[in-house]
Amino acid sequence: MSISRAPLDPRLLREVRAARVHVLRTTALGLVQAAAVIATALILAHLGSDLLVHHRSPTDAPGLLVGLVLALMVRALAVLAEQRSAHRAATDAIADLRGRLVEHGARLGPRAAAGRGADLTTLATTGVENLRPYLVGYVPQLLLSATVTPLVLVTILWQDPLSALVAAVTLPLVPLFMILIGKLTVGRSERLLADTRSLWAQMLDLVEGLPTLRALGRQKGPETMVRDLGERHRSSTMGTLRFAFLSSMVLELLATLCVALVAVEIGMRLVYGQMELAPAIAVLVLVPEVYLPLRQVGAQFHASTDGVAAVSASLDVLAEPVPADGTVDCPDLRTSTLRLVDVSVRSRDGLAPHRASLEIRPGTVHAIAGPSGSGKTTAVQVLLGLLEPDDGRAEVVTTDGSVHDVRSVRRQSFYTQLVHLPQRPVLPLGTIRSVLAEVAPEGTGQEALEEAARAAGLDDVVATRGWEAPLGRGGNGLSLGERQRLALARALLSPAPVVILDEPTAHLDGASEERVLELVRSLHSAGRTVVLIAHRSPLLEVADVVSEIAPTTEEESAPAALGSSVGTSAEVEAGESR
Amino acid sequence: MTPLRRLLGMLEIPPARLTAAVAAGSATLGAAFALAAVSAWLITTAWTMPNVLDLTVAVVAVRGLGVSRGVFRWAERMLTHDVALRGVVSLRTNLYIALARRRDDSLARMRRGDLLARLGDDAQELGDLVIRAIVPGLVALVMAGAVVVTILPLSIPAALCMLIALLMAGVLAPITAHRAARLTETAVVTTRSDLTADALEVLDDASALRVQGRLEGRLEGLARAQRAHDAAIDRAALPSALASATVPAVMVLALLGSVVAAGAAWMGGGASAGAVGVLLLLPLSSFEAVTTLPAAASQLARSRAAAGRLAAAVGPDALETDPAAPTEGATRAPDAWTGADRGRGTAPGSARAPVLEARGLHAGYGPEAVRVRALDLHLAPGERMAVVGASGTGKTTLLLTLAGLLEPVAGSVSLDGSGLAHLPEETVRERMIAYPEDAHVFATTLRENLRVVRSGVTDDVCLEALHAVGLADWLGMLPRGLDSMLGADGTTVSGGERRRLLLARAVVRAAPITLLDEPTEHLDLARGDDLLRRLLDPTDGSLLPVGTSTVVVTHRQEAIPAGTPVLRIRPDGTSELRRMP
Repeated sequence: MSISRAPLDPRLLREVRAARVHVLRTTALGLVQAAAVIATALILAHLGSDLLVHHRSPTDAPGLLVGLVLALMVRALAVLAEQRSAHRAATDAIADLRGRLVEHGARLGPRAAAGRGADLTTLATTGVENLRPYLVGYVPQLLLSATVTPLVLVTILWQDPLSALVAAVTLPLVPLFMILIGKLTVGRSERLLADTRSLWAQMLDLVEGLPTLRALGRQKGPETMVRDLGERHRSSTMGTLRFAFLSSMVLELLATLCVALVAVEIGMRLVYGQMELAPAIAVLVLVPEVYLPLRQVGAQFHASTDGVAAVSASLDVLAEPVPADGTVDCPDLRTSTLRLVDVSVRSRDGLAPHRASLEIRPGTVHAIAGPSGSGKTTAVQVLLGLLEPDDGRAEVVTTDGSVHDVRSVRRQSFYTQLVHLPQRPVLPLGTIRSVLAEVAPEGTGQEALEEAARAAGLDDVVATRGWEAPLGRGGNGLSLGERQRLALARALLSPAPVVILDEPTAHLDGASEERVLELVRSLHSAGRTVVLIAHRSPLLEVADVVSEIAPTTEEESAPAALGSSVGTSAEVEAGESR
Repeated sequence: MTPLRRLLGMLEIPPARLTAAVAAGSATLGAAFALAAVSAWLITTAWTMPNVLDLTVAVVAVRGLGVSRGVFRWAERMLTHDVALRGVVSLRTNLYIALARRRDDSLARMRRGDLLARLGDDAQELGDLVIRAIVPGLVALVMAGAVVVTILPLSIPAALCMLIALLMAGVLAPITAHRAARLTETAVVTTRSDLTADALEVLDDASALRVQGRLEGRLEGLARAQRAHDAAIDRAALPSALASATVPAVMVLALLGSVVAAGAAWMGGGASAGAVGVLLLLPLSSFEAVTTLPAAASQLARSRAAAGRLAAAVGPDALETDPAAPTEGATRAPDAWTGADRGRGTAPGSARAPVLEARGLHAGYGPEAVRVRALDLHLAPGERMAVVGASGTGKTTLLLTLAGLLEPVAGSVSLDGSGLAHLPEETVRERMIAYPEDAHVFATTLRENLRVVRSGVTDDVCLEALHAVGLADWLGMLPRGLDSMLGADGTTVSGGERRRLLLARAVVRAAPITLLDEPTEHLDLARGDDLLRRLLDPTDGSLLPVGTSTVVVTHRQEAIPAGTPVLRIRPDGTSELRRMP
């Protein structure tokens, strides 16, 4: 894997300004560091040879001493500036990528989340943080090996061509051996890594199940399994490391071997008087510096793999095209019909929904029913133009018979005319009052708020906590059932002509369920269109029209989808409702 | 004792292994240092044109040292990682034991993710302390001594300059690095959790936010949270950069001291050319060991924070557990769950069900969060009771408290008149088992997921239970029947299937008292209502044996059979018991 990906993704430099600036600045500072290293070596060589050959004390050459101090100080300052710049760049690049990932992911719609699931959220939260060790640790060393290494090598060539030859011959061995070791171990270490991961997963599984084991009174057996799995994980990890550390061994070996070869070679020439002392000292100081950045690159290699992976995964997501917004204004939904024509959406098990067609006429209560996993929620996402169906289309039909594909409609003009209550209610931050007031039309009085709260069964919540009870993130502070009732009250207060309720009774008991039915009836009598997604029967009874949604039957679906993955879409629904 | 020291004790690191790792580390850096010293001596001595034979030893030494460093490095890496990984295994086992043996209800209070984070990542942070801080720190100490001792015979002032420079690099740089790490840690704890929550919310609720027209606003909120986090994390940038610039800065002092001392020694005529060469060139190679110390200090800060969290999780009595207790050699197959479970899981229905009683019971996750108040309850042997109430009234909390998994805020629960607090945990679990709705489905076979409740269960019993709860069709579709793997890498289990699997566990276990939490949620009405009726009818032995007692939490009041005692919990926490008409 180390070979297949470029250590510095050119797309990163193109797309992320902070990374581009960082690379330029670090390259410049790398040149400064190279100059300081070379100056230090040359001054030290000069001082040494003056002293030994000409018996001139270093204290008699204050200029050189000052030069030495300056060179070292410049190096320290360059490191300081480079590291500071690296931290800044990492912070900026992470912020930039995270913001763009979240925005892009949100615009890609439910399909993007369904296909990638936890991956996208992991990437946007913890994944992009891997950029910090990569930009702070790895990239500067990579650039130093592109600046310091060649400049120092040129200086050695100027001082003593033979030593430069030794260094130049051993240097290419570094990448050569790295590639050879990589090739030799790649199959083996990938197998070991898979082993290691599975042992790790088993260990974590036991840890995660500890509360369950305790509830069953079985918590005192598995500790031996924890130790046993841990031991096997350790020996498996050591097996991978045995090969992983070979590369660091080769790096160190080549670096010191080259220093040793050069030392012996110039030592021998000095003995026979074939060489001056000054270049000998300079070369001896400079040779380790040729290898230093390469060794650091090797040491930071692990930081780089995670960083490179995060970068390429992020840029892959950002490269996915976002569906364009429509161009025409949405017709008036008080009079228009919403329609699905032969809509099919691919899911993990086949098509759900499979060729769904339905017509939601204005002013009706329309229930969308079907077993778990049949694609009821998906059908509504298609209806709202949030998801592109794999087949079929969603349309808005006006009274005069003109038909608009949902994709051609300006979404904002569409969404302002409807209220959508997902299974898990999504609420803004604020207080109970502010959350309700913000959806109500201008000038709605306290009485209307109270009326809506009563109708949604929210009155006891208001009675115990008050109108100004603060709601945290996602309605935090309220139970799921209470959040759902709050969302229902919002639906009631909003003047939007279309109300879409996804399993509105999922978290409610019998009494609250009755209130929801009452609420649907009152929405209906106010002339509003109500779309219900339901598999509980009482909800179906209040509907004027019930459309059954069905997934692909088993005979129709591909043979590969049979068997092992039965019930997965039902699980998706259950997961959403939790 | 600080949390860090306590947790380090749980790593049970053998001193011999640690010493070997430090020795290998010192040999690695020592080889490089000696190579620099000998080659400096070699070329300056060679310049005096001595007999070539006088240089033989030095030449051989240089070549040998050139080769040995790589080998030492490999040994050091292996030894260090081995000792750290062994430590983490011991730590994790000890933590597991400590958590499993904790008498109080802290485990029930822990969030699932927290448990994983503690035993996963935080335990790893302590292993990393060995790799990044303890071994490199000890190596740096050894090497600093070696450097000063090497220079001391050549020039006392030079050795003194070197000592001061090493002290500055070894103390100042780690302190600033530690500060940077603390600042980062704070930023992560405070601002990053907000940021992460914001990002997750936007991604999870993207569709709803778009329809509500609030996506733009939330994205701006995310950008604000990111800016706050950036500002917090930026404070760590300067100290962190200062730490990396310290070594090149202090090198000025060491090198200047050495150069001047070399001048004095040579001009004074007391030193050989080789000694002058060593003095001149050695300072450049003397700081390799201390360059690892800033990273060691940051690791220390992270590990200390992790140790604090771990100590809080395992509670104050963690050291009283006996790590030698687990028996060796248990493996996952064929019956993974045996371990130390002596005689538990007796045959179904063999014991008379005890009387379950609650007196003046207040249940909740703390005095400020009491959900159920002043409950009196009497469950006679063989009786089956339903618990209903509006969403969020604390029915699950009540179930956990009755089962002894959560301590009562006030009042008491008793079995046959003995309070749960006075009964051994084993005895309680033998007589009464609760099945919370969030119970874990283990990533192992379906068979093991049922066997987890009782040792030595035959396949017939498992199959019978799966049939009884209506999972026969599902079982038929599984590729390998009872041998099918469940969980992340195996068959995913839907919400309804999961509930019934948990119910099948209860059927297999057939405990004298069974407490069930919403066993029919996520099922279609007909099937759910049928299961509920069979669970609550005291004369129905198709799921739980006649004569065992049952408490079932449910939403489906309509499906409760007539005559069943129903405990209704009101929103204010009070309750009333009535028979279903």
